[in-house]
Amino acid sequence: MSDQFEQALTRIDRPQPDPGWKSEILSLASAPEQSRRRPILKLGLAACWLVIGALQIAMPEVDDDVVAGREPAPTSVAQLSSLYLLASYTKEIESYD
Amino acid sequence: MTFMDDAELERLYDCYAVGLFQYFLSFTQVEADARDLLQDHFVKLARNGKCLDGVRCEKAFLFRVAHNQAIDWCRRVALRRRKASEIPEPDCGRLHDPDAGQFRAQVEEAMASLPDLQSSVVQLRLWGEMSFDQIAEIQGISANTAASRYRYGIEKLRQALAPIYREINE
Repeated sequence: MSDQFEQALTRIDRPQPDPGWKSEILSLASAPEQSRRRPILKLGLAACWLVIGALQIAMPEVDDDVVAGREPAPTSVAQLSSLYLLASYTKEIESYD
Repeated sequence: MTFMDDAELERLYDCYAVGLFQYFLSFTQVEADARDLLQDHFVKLARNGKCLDGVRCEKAFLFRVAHNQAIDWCRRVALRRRKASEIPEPDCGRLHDPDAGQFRAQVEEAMASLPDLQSSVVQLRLWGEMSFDQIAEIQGISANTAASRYRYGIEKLRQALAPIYREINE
């Protein structure tokens, strides 16, 4: 049970946070989400380019279709999957910009 | 890592920022440090979007997190109590007469002179309107310890503020 002195204390207003802090703190609190995702996506894009480059080096130009005199296929399966990955990453990055 | 929804974060700020700030201030005695702790608190909340899932009482949970933060802060920083003149004057108040203003300033001074764990219990009990059970849960102590820290704190405040309190009430 509180006495008169304690009741007098409860009527005292304690220091309040500045009203301007709200927007600053909330924007700081939610900022890491975007700033954290973007570098990951850019890293993913760079990794795709590396994969494509590596595939081009590892699977050079001997094309059985050309050797056999047939019309060559447009791209190999590996190249197509790399291009698909690249396209998805690019699309995702664009959605954040 | 799941981020908290912006609207939910704003709701928590609106509900608890004032109390949390005052709680931090009961440890730091310095507005800028209390603000830093408040900001860290909400950054942590934002980064742990699911932290309130299954929580029985979000107020107690948030103050328990705040208490751990404040204790960490006290351990990290060599706490030097500022002189009463450096304690920020409250921006607004319900009491506007000069005596009340002086009383309020002396309350801040007296609160700053209490040991951290007493002033934090007094803050939660008087201005946070929490029960000793809730305070015990937040601070990881027994309800009896919370009550005894409160009694010691109030007695020290009573002694420190007795002259001006008598003057106001005469």
